[in-house]
Amino acid sequence: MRRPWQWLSMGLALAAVAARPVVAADLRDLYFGEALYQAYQGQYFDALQRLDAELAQHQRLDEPQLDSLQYHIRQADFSVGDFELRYRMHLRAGRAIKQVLEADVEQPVKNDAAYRLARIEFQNDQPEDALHALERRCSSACRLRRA
Amino acid sequence: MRKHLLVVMSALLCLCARTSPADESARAQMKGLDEQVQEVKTDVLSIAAELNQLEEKLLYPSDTHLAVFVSLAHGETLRLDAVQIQIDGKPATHYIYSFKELDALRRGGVQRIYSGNVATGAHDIQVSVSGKLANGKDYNQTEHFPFTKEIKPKLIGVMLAGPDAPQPGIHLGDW
Repeated sequence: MRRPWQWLSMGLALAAVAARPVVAADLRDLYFGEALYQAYQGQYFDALQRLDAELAQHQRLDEPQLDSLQYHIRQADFSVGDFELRYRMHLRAGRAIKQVLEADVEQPVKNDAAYRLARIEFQNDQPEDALHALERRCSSACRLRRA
Repeated sequence: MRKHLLVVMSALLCLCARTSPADESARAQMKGLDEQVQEVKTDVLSIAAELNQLEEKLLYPSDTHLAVFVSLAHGETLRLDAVQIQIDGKPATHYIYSFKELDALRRGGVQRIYSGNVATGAHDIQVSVSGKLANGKDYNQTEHFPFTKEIKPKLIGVMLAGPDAPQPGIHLGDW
């Protein structure tokens, strides 16, 4: 049984993630910047359309590491999930984020993915699953602090 | 009497709280409908993306394609009202910004202000900016930049900054 403060802290954590902008500090891909421009205006369909096309093009390249999107590729992957979520495409967003969680990536990236997954679960009216996703984010330092 | 009332109210509450099989069926139907809507959205999205790419490919072939993007410098407080672009002395576009668009630019978004075709070779772009500074004064600035169009698509990034910025004025970036 969860206590009210636990639900409250989960809600606050999710709200904090929702409010965090996906700003590219040093933008190197103009089309990615365009997708962000549309998303910041709430035009998630256009943003998704642009970013989907950019990512598809990037994946088709022989040497994607030379593409300007490579610099933002992680942020772009997350942004796709984020825009899908805001365009109420929870299934696709959830699948994309779960793939990141199961992939061999660094812990900060997994943490970010877990936060986003928690947000999806929370919006899907599945608070237990959201809490589970948030707990997944907790690193060993977090566990030590609890102990 | 009061005890009787309490029993009736408790019974009613229990009835309301219990989920009937009809409720569960309706919920499952809603879930199924939601999934169907999401599938339709996915299809529409992929069709729209394909059409958009096709349109760009037909209207702007890569050997003549020129795209101009506008962005604001980080932390810029300039209230951008309008941007006018001229290419080789001919007006290409004139854009007036809404509050939402300005906010999106301030947050780091990049606007594609112009897509068109130019022949390969040397060209000139003129960027005119008008807006208001944080102190309420009018701000107008015009700059000319030469550029060369090669055989590949040309992407030009225009970065705008007010007079108080570390690098004030209009800057052109080549991508």
